[in-house]
Amino acid sequence: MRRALPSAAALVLVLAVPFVARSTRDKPAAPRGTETLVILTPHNESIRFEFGRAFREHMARLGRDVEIDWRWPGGTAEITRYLSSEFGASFQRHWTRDLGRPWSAAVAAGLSRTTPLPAAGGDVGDQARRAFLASDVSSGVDLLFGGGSSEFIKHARAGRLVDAGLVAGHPELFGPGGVPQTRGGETYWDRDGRWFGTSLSTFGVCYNRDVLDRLGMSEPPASWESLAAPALRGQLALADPTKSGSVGKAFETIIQNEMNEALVRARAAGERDPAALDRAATRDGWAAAVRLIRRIGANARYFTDSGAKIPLDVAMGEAAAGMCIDFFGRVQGDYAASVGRPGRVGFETARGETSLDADPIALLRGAPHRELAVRFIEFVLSEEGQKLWAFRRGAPGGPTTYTLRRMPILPRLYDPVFAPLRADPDEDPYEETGAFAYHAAWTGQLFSAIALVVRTMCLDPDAELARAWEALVRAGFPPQARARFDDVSLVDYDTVAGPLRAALQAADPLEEARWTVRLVEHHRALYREVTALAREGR
Amino acid sequence: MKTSGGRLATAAALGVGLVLVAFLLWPLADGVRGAFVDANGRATFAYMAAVFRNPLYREGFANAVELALCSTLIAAVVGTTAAVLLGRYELPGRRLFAALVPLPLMVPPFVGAVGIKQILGNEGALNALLLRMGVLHDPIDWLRNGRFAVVVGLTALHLYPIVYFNVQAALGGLNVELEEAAASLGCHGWRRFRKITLPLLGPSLFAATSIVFIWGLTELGVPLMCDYTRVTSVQIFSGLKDIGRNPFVFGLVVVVLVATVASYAAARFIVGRARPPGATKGGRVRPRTPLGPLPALGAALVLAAVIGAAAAPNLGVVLSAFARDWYGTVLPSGLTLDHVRAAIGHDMVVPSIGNSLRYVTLSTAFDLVLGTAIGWLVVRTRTRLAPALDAAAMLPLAVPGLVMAFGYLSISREGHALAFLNPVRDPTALLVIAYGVRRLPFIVRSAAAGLTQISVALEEAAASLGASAHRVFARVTLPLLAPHLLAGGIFAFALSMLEVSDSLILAQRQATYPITKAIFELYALLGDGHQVAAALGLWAMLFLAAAIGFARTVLGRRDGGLFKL
Repeated sequence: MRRALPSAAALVLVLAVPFVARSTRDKPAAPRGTETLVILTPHNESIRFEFGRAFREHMARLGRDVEIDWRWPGGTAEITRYLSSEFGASFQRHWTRDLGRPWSAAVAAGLSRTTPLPAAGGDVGDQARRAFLASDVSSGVDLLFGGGSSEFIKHARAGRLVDAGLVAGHPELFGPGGVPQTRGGETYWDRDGRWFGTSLSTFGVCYNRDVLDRLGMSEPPASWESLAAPALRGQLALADPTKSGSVGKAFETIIQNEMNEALVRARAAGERDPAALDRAATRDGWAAAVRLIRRIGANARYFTDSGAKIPLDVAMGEAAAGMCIDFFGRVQGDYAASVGRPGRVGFETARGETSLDADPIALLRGAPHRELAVRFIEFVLSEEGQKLWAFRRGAPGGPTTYTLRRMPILPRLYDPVFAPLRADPDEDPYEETGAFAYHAAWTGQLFSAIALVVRTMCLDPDAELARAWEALVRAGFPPQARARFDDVSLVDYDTVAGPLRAALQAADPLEEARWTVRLVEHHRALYREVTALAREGR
Repeated sequence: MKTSGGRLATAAALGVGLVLVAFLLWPLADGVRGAFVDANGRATFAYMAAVFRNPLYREGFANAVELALCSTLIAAVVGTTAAVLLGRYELPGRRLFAALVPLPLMVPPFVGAVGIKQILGNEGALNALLLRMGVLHDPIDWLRNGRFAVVVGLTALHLYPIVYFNVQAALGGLNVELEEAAASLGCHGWRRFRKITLPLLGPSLFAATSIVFIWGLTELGVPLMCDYTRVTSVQIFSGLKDIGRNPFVFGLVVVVLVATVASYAAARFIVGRARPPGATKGGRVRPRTPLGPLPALGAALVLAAVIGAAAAPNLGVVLSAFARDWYGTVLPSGLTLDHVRAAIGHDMVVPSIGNSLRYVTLSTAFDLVLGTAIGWLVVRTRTRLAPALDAAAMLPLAVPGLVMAFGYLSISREGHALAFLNPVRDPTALLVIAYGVRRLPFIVRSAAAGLTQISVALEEAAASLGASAHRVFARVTLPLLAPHLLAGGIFAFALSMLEVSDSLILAQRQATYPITKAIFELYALLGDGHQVAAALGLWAMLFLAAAIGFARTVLGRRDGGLFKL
């Protein structure tokens, strides 16, 4: 046994280190609450820590001992699957045991419908859905906290979210001077009270100054157009619009921006007919936007589902620039500056070209601790809770451990009196987006179609697109090859808003797959043709 | 050679089959049923047909097969060479090399990619070194240029320890008299290795390469890190993350499952199940041969290059854990203990270590019992269920972790027969089962390879002297099998400790988090999150190294030197 002693000692030592380190810490262990609130969230530990701590303290002042049971299964996709699975199982029990009806595939299919119900009657699927909406079946979770507003709209349509009863009771929040219901075409809270934005975020560009210098780019990219610069090929980190509603929204914003510019050009050309102006925006603007997205996609190093990967890769020099959520870019830039050369990593909001998306909270159907859950929503929307998003660590009323650097949704927090306490005193989302006008009628119904276009044009044929772009740049953009590269006729506005949108609305995966294969194969053939033409100098 | 059968074998086969149906096939079927059910709940094969009609999916699958074949070939050559050099010859630094071999299997999730980017990235250590030496004027994008070759190389270096350990265990069990007999007849060197040694290593090499091939076929981490998207594993991962319903991704999973079973069956058919003649485990062991100075130096340099390259992610994680800043320099430009303090001092970390130890110890024990039973049924009995059990035990290698995790969640919901396993209350039972099932192939292959090498004559001799079947197993078979079970058990333990998908989905309350979910939590922190996660990853690597070292020391003595390093 003597021979085993050194390895046994090493094992004991390694095991003991964390236990010893923990025992020497001053910080007391978190109290065990007598009341528990269950929250499902994609938010990271820093947000969970600050809101959990502050809410416990808030409730302690009211004489209640509360503990939060955070559930964190990963990102948006995992949360959606989790809720769908849990509500499905819970409703199956309700349907078979409480209502005494037989379970079938048609019942399960009815539950997943999101189309409006007929006033009465309908098939067994409609009956199941009506029973679900009238029920109090539970996922075992009280609140959903965090994610893009588009995800909350989908959950609300699916009937998973319920009215928290706050809209009428809080005029200071939802009345004049409070949080606007819509702004710049974006919805900040649900009129039916099923979800409420708690903070705002926007997409911008984070960049690595060293890599840009090496590529010969003197100015950092600060607009969507600048991301299409040929110098950035293979050096651009992009987010995947098929994985996140927020990213999908960012791509829609690029399109809306080009449409607005086409509208301005048409007006400048003397056009006054509203129908002609609308046509100029939706046809010319759309085509310009799709071409721009194609060129941006051609520069892509990857399209990721992880928002945090992009600023990290940019900070490490793995990419020159990337599309990035504002607070990710700012925090990573600050960190890089704190440990290395200041200015190495920067972040720019695409000013005037981007919209502000709300990051909501919602009460889930059948919440086991409804009263406590509503109190948490009220706390997050209160001035006390909103300070946690914006204030510097250690500022009075602010976070104690992590500076979150997010934009609170409550306009009062942008009052100059709070400026010295805020981590980003110059940021005011309620002043900035005036230049960007969102026209819901142009693209509001095309959300899924836009994601499919980006996927079939840029993500799936990524290798062929990158080769075509490289050949074009090397050949100096010969006219015939460039004309073919700019050909977006198969994904023009009429096609996308017409048959493609109709196919996606039919919710038939096979029809969607047929479109996907058709568009991908078209683009791969197109990019191969461009490569051949460019190499021939034509 | 089949020696047993009858009621015991049938009862064991039925028992094992029941466990596999309940905890492998049921959750798997639940996970992939979306491929066969349309939006109205009707059965359909249209989604499967659409998968085959999609050129991108076909291309992705062809790339996956090519990736698996190339990386298996390289891993087999590297792993066998390393095992033979370290097992048969005296070399400078032999013990150190042997100790470093398992490192690629100890790379913690998430931060492993950060570690390798710190070494091979644009502003990584290698480019910084070459720029400083004047070899380069601009950094090379190592991870992106020549993408397929890079993916193959990194996958092979990640997986070669599987071959190494299996071949090493087999070398320890080879009867040296056969090689000596060949030598006495004039068969030396490479010819003797090719004609005598290699065929004797056949079962172990087959066990290892079958695992490596299937692993390569479904490898996700390396292609994702290199942004290589046109391969089936990434297409499945991407589809599972889609916002909307995507039934084709489950169709792709079914394709991979069928391919796995088919390739495994084909490999078995080609290699054959016959025990190689003369592989009499339990005989004399060949002492290590001293090499001349020049060959010894050459061998040591080759090993240093291969083992060093394979350990690059580990090195990256270690240095990241202590780096204040590491950007564009060969080594970190400043060192700090802040990340280590933040990691091991975090409230979540100590409970997660205790949880992981509990889950993983139990799951490895579960694997040893189940895997040995399957190995015994396959090698020593004629039960008709054995081939099916053998193939089923390989399936977990081919199933994406997320599919299985949601399958487990589904079968344990309230109202189902297994609701008592619901992970919201306590995920211990379900995580033990999930970890155990996912790592079962390692134990099955190790046990089957070991049993194939153990001469039935030894067991028959013991039985003829009056030993009961139980006593024969405990006193003859098990001690001879121990090195193989240890090799498989180490893999199962280490990989369960680092298991991601089941941990993320099934451990829902913070008090029940295993260490991988704690790493993921820290990794998601903005700012220094990656370094803090690397620090916890470093602790996990140290723990695994210490645990493996301890296991080897203890069992290495007991098995009479058969498993010496």
